[in-house]
Amino acid sequence: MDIEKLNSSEATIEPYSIKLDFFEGPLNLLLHLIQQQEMDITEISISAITDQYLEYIELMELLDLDLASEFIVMAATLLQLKSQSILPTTQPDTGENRQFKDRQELVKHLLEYKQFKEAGQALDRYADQNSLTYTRPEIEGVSDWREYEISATLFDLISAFQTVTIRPNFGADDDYYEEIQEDPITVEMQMDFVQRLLTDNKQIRFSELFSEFGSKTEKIATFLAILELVRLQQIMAIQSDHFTEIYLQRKVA
Amino acid sequence: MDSEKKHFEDDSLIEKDEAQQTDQADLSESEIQAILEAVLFTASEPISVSQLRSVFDRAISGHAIRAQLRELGQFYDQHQRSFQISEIANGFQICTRPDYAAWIEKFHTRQVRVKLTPSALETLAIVAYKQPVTRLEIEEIRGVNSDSVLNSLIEKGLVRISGRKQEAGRALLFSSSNQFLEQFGLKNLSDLPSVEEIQEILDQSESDLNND
Repeated sequence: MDIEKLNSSEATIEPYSIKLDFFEGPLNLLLHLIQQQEMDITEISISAITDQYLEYIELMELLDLDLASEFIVMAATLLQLKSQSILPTTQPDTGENRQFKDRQELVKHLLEYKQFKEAGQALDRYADQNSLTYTRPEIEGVSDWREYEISATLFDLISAFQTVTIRPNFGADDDYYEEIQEDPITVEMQMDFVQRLLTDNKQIRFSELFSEFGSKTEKIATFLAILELVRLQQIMAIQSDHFTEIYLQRKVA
Repeated sequence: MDSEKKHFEDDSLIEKDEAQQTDQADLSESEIQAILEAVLFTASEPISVSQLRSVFDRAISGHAIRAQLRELGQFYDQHQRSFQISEIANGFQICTRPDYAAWIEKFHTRQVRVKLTPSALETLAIVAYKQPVTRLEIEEIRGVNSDSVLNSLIEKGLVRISGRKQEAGRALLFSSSNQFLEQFGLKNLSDLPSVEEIQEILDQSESDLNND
């Protein structure tokens, strides 16, 4: 394959060249080729599959498809595996600069990838099935079950934080030394984090922000971030009753 | 492991405690059932047992609520109603049976079904099964840059940022959302199809295609 030519075509990108990396990767192409040949993944011939892969890459090049660098890396890996399978190894191969050490590793990875691809297809069937069931659309006035929400006060927030921190796992694997870690979580970082979460989700549980993987300093930073965002009127802290779960919401202007 | 599951387990823990309590409310079982029906009837999204308990000021156990919902569902089944009580996205919801979809679509506009590209589907599957997972881990499996596909899944509300990795670099961790469970009709994360189930589903849909 002519890599130089590829590079030069990359330099002069056509205005309507199709971004391929958004759609598929090299593993997908390999699977496609294997299925086309009705081969069993565990019995693939590296030599045959490499030839087909390279042929395909050349065709894509011809069509001026914008090839992701991953395709080239895979081509190189396949070529190396192919030479490995033909020539007896004369020198110990460290396999350092390669995606896959040997054929076995490639097969293992392909099988894993195929598993997820098929899981995705199965999920697609689920969505098909689910689209046949209809539920009530939102009704004006009764749209939200938490109609009777009240705003949480500062003390509600502190109590909630206390509940989070007295959990047995609070800072469980927190060494004394962790206090001076290299990249400490700052309040600003957590403010950003909470706001990002709230662009993705309409609402988040207060406890959800603390339940996962957090160190003590991170939890404190998160809590201060919440207070700051409430103060800046960026978010609202609400609960359906005192001492119940607190939810955080974006403040609607 | 993941917050969704954690909440779910929390719920069931609470339920166990309270199953031993006697229900204090002055409501008869049929009244409780009717109230649950009214709440689900007017709800536009799945309602969790914990949310349903707050309707009764937590005086009714989660165990009792589940029992009433089960009974109500059986009633709909026996009387061959067009709707059923579905357990979905860590909650319960009244929804119509698939048999009536064609009729409903004659009257209402057909509901929008999010159609995902194959690469979005496989990325979603990786997130769903391996969560919480970093972008790098996803790309390792897919063998290709997954930035844009991951972003579009977040935009669609199917994937959410669930935290940061403790290790150096503090990479963002991604998990599936409740909306993912809702749109794919899953009760909870343990309801994801197993390897065998996936094969069955795919074999089934293949034979469906051949029969058409």
